[in-house]
Amino acid sequence: MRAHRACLAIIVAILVLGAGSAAAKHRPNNEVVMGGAISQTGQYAEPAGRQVNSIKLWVDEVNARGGLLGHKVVARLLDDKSDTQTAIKLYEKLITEDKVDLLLAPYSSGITEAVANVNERYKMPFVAYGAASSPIWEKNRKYIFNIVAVAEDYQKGAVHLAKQIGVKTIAIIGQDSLFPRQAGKGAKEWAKKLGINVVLEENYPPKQTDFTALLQKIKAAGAEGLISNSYFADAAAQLRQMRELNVNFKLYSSTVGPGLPNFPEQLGNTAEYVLGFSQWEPLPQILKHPGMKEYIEAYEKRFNEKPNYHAGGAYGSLLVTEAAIKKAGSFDNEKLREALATLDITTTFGRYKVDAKGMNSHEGLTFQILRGQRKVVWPDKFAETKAELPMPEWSKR
Amino acid sequence: MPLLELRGVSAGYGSIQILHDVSLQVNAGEIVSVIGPNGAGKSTTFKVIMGFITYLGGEIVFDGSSLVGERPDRILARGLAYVPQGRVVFSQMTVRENLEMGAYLERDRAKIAAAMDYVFSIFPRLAERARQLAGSMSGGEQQMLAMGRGLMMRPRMMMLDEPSLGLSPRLVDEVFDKTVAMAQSGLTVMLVEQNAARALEVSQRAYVLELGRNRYEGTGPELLANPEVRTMYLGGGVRV
Amino acid sequence: MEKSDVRSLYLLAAFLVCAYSLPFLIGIQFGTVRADEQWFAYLATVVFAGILQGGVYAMFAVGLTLIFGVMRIINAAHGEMVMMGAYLTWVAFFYLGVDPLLALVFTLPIAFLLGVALQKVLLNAVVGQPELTALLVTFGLGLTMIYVAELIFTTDFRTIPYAPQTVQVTRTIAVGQNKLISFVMAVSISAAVYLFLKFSRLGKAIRATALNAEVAMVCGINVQRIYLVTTGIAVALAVAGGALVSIQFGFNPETGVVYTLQAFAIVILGGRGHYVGALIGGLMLAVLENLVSLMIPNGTAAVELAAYGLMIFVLLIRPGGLMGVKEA
Repeated sequence: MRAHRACLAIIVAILVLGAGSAAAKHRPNNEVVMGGAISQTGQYAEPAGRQVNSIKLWVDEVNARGGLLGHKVVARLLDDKSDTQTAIKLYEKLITEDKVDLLLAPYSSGITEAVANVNERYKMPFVAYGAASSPIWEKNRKYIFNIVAVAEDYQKGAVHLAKQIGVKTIAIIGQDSLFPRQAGKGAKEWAKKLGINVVLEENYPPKQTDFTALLQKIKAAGAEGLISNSYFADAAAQLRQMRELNVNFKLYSSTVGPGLPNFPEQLGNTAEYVLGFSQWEPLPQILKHPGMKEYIEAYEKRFNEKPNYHAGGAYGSLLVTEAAIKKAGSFDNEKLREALATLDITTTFGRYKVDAKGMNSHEGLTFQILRGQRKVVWPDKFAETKAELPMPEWSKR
Repeated sequence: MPLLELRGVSAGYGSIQILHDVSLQVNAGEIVSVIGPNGAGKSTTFKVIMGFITYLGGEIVFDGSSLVGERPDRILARGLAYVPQGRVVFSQMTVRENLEMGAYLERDRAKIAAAMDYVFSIFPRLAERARQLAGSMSGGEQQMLAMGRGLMMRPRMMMLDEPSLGLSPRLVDEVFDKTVAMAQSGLTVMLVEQNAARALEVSQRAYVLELGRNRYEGTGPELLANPEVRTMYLGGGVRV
Repeated sequence: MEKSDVRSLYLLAAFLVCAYSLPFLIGIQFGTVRADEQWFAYLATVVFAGILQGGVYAMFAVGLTLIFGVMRIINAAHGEMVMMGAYLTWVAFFYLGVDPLLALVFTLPIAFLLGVALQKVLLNAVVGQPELTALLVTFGLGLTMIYVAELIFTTDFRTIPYAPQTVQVTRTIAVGQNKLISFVMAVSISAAVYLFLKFSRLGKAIRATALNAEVAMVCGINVQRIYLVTTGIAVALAVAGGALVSIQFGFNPETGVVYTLQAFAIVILGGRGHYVGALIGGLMLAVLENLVSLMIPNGTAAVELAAYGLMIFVLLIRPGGLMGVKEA
């Protein structure tokens, strides 16, 4: 009996040690590999591409300041083509075949939700910067952390602004996938709190391109404002078709599309007065986070545009990861996980301190596209200018 | 010199040989029939002339030059028309359109109009039905249309495959009358028929095929008088 | 017309009345249908937009039905050819600065030649083979086209901002200028193809080949050449459809699948090989889609269900389709 127990202890010790050494599997030339599959093509390419920018910037910066624990950081970025199944396969590959040391997060709530099962299985933690749907953190997962505000708060500002201008009825529509559904749920709750009547709720398939009938339905339901939980292609199609059909709302707010720099570029005048949500804006004088100014300058110099919130979030989460590794003093998955769970730090993106589920309570901003520029209009303490609402009718533009 | 001559022709579908060493001649101005039981290779003879099945050997000469390897449209252009069996018309096209298709290779509108007048003179019923969809006509009319379509290029010779198949006795008479009428206007006709008795009546000469080989040949009256032919192919010679 | 034929037509009519009333009945249940003038204006807008969309759908179907009619090839890559047309137009617009409709002047001949090449290289091998063989080959072709398009253009959504102004058709019906232009273009192109098939020498030869290839051959029609021309025209039709898609909607390499399925549904609805049927089928499908979307709660997601439901029931009641005749 005793002998058996001793045997078992030895086996366990070997396994634990083995796991420990495997976690510190640096490459011969003193490199650590940080791998991730991020949508470089497909419907998420716009936001995800800007996160890739920040990743590249941070990798160069961290190597310039001596790397992570003295190791040179190499990024291994794959393209999931905005496809969940591809993302799952690529993360399996990164972990089991490429044996990367650290993971980078994917983009979009749907893909992050799927990938969260993979990294959980291999016990490799990461800080998500492209996922804002709270259900991801409600499944007792231990190896995924969040830096951004949750989906439920994306339309918070838009609903508050609707209330301010006396809108009594809104319609909530959105793409039929995880993140837009959560954003819709949140919008509905905020509307209820503020006494605004939700006259129509509808989800459309992700491939929907024709919104003619849906727009008529929304008008028929008597909505004064339209809350759209949409990405780029669908938000753009909705606005173009609103204009074609001469359908007017006092307020139109989209979760993701308007936050992308080329949204006003591609839509021109049609994008004017649209409300959008931002996790973060490159406004150091207003947000006053440490290191913001330097980051914005470096990003702008390298990519010829100011970072948007997707870029800002990715950069912030990498700074968090860097700090956590320093705190853990190791690349060991368990130690890193522990550090990420307990860390309290303010980065260029704002404060990072997660709750027991791994979620950060980040405060977002609502902006309006005015004369081709995003201008923060809510909350009041961060507002750059006053919102210009209700939107003028198409015929008067 | 015969207008069409087959010398020792062998042919088949893929690797299955159907015709073995078949020889026959059709002289200008004649009506020649090919008769025989089912599977004798009668229709196959037409198909090998048109190049629709695998040619295995022998000579096919039309008007002094070989037809072997010639495309169907070239064969038609050289003056040999083929009317397949089964009253095959373009059912969803009008009678006029069907006839126009028969003259597809002819680009001279005046010649097409003249050919159509000629066809209408032989088949007056087709003129009455010119605007009707071919598929909506009776079986006999469809057979006439198929024959008329074969005449549109004003060929020198026509190969008619089983023109009386499935028609009522009255219409069978009409089809054979029209065949004779076409021949009288100068057309050489080669006829494949199940209805051997009627075929022999209108033919100058005839060939009897059996299992893809030549069996008998002779003038219509000779074969009609041959007791073996009578019992084997003419239903016991009940009617003459 | 045979008795059973007449009966199936009545049955179909009864089914269609039900199919089109269903959105209204569901709408009344959920209170999305109202009886005031304003609501009728929304209804009219949606029906009108459906008609415009239907014209474009019909053009997809004409290309599909043409290849099937002549060669008995089910072209599962038709939607991908539409997608290719959208990209051709997009490239012409963004890189060469050519007006999307003017671009047709050179994209259509290119498409025709691509069709001819496709026929020579690939489809000639499957003519006369079982229909499944051709279906698998074109399905593979479609997947290849998607993959190649992803390599060249990525999976990003593209769109061409073209004629976005509102046209006030009546006091209550407004519609995008691009939609109106697309409809007019689609109907004119389809009509031109129809007239070509109906009256021209070559067009008649194509119809004759579709009806009976062997007899066409006997008539002196070079059937091999007819196959080349047919596929050329079908690909040109798809590419023209793609141009019209590109000025109205966003598209990416995977967009084509939706259009293939819609074209199938319309061909089945209207009757295989029937061009007027394709137009009616296109209009019916698009209008039904819009009615479902307008009146049924969360109906935007139910649109595909409605389209395929319509297709399946029409197939059950009248396998030859609305205008179809029994095959000889």
